[in-house]
Amino acid sequence: MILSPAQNEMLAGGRGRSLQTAMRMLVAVARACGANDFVPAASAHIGMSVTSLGEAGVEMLEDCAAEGLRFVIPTTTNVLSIDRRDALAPDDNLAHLQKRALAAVQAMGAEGSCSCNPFVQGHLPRAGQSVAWSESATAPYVNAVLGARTNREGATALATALTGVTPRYGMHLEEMRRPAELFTVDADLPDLHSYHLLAAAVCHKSGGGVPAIAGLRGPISADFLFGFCAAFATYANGAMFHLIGITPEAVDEALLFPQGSPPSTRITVASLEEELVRMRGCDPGEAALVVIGCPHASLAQLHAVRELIQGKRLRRGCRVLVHTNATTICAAAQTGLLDDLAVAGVEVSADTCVYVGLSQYPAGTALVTDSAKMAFLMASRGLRTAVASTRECMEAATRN
Amino acid sequence: MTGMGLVGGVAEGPVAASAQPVSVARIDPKDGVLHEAGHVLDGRKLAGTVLVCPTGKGSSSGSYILLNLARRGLAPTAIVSLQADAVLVAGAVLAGIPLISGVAPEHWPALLGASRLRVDGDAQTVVIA
Repeated sequence: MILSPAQNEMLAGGRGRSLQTAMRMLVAVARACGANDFVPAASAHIGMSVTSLGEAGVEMLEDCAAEGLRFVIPTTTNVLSIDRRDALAPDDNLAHLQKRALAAVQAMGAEGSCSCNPFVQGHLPRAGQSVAWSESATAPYVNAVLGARTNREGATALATALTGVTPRYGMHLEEMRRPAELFTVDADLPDLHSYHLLAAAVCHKSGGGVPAIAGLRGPISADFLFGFCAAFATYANGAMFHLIGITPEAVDEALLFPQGSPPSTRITVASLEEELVRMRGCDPGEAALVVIGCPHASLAQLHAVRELIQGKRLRRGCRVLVHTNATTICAAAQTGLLDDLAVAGVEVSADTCVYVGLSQYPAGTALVTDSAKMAFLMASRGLRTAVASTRECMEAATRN
Repeated sequence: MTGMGLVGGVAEGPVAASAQPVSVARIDPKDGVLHEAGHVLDGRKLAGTVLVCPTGKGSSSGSYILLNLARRGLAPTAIVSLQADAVLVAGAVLAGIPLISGVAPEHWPALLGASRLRVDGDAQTVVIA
């Protein structure tokens, strides 16, 4: 493997223990994945929730900070295990540990963005840039929608934030981004919900290669595209797709398949309905928890929730949780939107979510959400989950 | 048998083998037991074992799970794989778990069937003990 003198020095421990560990991680991943060298990374998005870092992960971040290290590229942070506004509240051990983790990365220069939707905060890698972004939902958006390049990163994103490089394999290689399969959509996709179903249908019919999807008409909102990406990352191991005529590396089908198009798999209304049946582990009417905002809701999604709850009251025994980030909450507070939601009984959280949060929900709890990812993750915790459109979610939560 | 030694060190232990990919994120950091309904290693305590699996899968938080397990003495003692993925590799580096990847497929059945293995990440060898 080709390393620069500076990278060799890090690997040998000449720049301290933490940078040695970071470089060891990157070199080992490079060797495992067949990379011969590194590519400079323009930014990193690092995991922050204490439920995944654990005590040892937090101590590692603190060791880095104590050595005086700084992130050498712009670095944003993923979702937290606590609500950002509780930062000054009395806390338990895990909440305290979360604050320590955040303090450590901010000392190293991280932007305290704390969101799984950095895109609504204006963090948008540019086409052609290589980056290292953790949070699985962001990777397909970075690659397919923005035309930038990232693999699905974990602890390696931290190593990249500290060293400025990432191994040259996978999504950083032109040939790995080429489509292997073709799908044609023959169904209307009127809302966010339909994009979650589309992603599930494509993944379940896919042989695992990069899919190209024809038959969609633009423009498609960023919210719908990001919803598609989150569901795609839930059901596929990959981090790349093409929407023909819409995403930047898929201008038209002929350019995408210069040797001629492969046979296409049709996605029909029936395919989408099949996926919906698969995603119904409970009846939406049973919901004890309705969760909106996975990934973190945009301002437009908050507006949609207000519109859907207007003139209605929450059903007894049902909570409505809307997950978003502090950036979006600030914007919502300025227009009265946040107050309206609070008056309606909607609980809006800042920079966290039920999956990485510290609250436990009993197995069997009925959770209804407009996110395929949320439904999948909480089902793995033993909850009964169902996916429904945002409108159906709010209908399930309210009475007239 | 030889492979690519991705994390150095020598370790020996009883084998926990899976012909399916393993999500190390599904190991409970409090007791080292893997929980994944339907998986061949579901309910198995992996602490002290040589984990033999074709590759990793699942959440990228698995790397930190390995680190936390190692801190509590509950991690697998070594890992042998056909093609280690980034989550497994980064986690093994953080946790200091000897890791060998890229063993020849013709040796794979013998590794899956072994009851005890000795792994040397520096010499890049796996021996049936």
